[in-house]
Amino acid sequence: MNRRVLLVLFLAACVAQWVAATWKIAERELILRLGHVYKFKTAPMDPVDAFRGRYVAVRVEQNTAPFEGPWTRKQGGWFFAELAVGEDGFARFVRLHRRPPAGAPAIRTRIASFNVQEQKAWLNLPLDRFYMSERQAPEAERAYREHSRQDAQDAWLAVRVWRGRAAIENLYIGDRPILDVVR
Amino acid sequence: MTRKGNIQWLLGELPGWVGQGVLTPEQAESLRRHYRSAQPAAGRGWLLTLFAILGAVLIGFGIILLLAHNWEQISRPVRAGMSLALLLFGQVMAGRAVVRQAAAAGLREASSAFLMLVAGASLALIAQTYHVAADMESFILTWMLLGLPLVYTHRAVLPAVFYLAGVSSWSLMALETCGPTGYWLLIALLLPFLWARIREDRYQARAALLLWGLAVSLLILSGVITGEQEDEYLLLMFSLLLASFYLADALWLEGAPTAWQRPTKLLGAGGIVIMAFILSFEWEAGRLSFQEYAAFVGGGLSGVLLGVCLPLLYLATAGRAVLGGRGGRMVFGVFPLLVWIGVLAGQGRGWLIANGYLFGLGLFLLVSGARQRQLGKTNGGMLILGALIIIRFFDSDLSFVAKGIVFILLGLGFLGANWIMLRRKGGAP
Repeated sequence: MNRRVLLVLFLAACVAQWVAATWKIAERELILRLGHVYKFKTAPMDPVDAFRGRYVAVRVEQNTAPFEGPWTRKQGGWFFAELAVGEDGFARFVRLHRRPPAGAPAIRTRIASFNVQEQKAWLNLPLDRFYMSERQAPEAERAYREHSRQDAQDAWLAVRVWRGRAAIENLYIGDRPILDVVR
Repeated sequence: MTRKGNIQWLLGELPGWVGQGVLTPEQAESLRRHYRSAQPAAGRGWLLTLFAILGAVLIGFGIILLLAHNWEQISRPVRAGMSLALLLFGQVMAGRAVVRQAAAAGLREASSAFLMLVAGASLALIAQTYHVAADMESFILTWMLLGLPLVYTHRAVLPAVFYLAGVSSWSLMALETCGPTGYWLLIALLLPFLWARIREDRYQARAALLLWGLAVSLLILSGVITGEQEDEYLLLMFSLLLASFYLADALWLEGAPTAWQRPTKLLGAGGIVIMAFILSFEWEAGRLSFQEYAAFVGGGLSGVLLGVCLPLLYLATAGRAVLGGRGGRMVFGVFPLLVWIGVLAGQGRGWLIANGYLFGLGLFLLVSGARQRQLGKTNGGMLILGALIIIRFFDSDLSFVAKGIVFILLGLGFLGANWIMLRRKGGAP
């Protein structure tokens, strides 16, 4: 290949790398600025990702939705889990749609498993990690465990939802952001 | 033969040429001086390339680790800016190697490997900043596809090896959800580069590194993909792949100056011996029916590649090896046929054939190694025979009487052969 072709190919690769990076930033910024806030009850713990560092792994407690099927693991595919806010102020999923539901808030998600008898799907939500520094993540886990021992499992996520996409805004223990708890 | 090999051959020939009057002693000395001075320069060039690569890779990994610390003092917009600035820095460094037409291999390898790593670090920093969900599969796939063009723009092997490692890991993670077709397509994207390197010089270290990566990736993924089927497919496909590796080496890589530049031979021969040892135990495998096989082949790209193309590749390499006067290579090359006859034809005597094969193979290597005075071959044969004897001695699946009789018969056989050879030589026993 001559030099000009190589240069064009390299510039195209650079543009693709920029598009991938800026698209992710822009999408997340839009969700965080324009999205509506929902609260999800969670249960945190503390693992490590070799590339992205330490994080508090969170599991949304209400991660199921009524679903009639059919669904198989091989089929996979994206679904939209419609949201509703309960009397306790926390969000839960009330229905699964193949397409974004008109006029109702929803999060785009995949199905982790499906029970035909119960007509219920367990969701693979894009809300599973809250990144913290190497110093803070173990302290956050310790703070959470101490808090749970007092029978007050009230860790929750503040999640912004916009046009089917969700972005974690903050993780709370009780009414305090986790960064304040470990500071 | 490589340039280094040519020089060594030439230097070895010089005294003979002087003796025959082809060259004067002065001319021979002049040639000797010229080529000896060229050798250290080539060595230094390699060292420079290696240091440049090591430096770039270490800095790249260091940046990933520094960012993984997750500095809480830095605000969200600054982190987003940092990730883009990091990407830009890597692109400028790598861009220099493309703009400079005659950039050294070290610069091309180091800068492209660095950009590949910082592209991953940049994506990881964005994911960390915005608490993006786990989804390692999409992260790795995006990273690898964004890095792949660097392999071609920089004619660089290191990003290609990263790419092989990345797409292999992605395929292992996504096999259940995406199926195996993606793996073959992603590997196919690298084949033009591999072909170009092999055409350039198949014995160069960069081509060898690439072949190692590809061969290991193919072995692991073919095993996992066929492992999704019944045991019979795994046995047949794996034995075909290993034998094809070994035979392909005989056809295309026999002139390599060192053993590590022949990855397909080492992996093929080593894999066949390990597989034969596994099969030498009591083994139950079902019969491979034609209907099931046809269903496997019709099941998708993997079925066609492993069920049709791989047997054809085996037949082609075996045919060329035999017709090209390299019939000795069939000592390893015959293995898939034995697997087929012994295990998959449903005779229930596969373990017996595997034991016989290992014994024959060990003996062949021992004798031919001793005849050709190749210590490695002789030791290989001794190792196979020794391991086979020890494993069978302690094998609790066989009765003591049967084992005892076989051991005594084999021992008598060896003593008999020894006696015959000594008598032929006319020496005293």
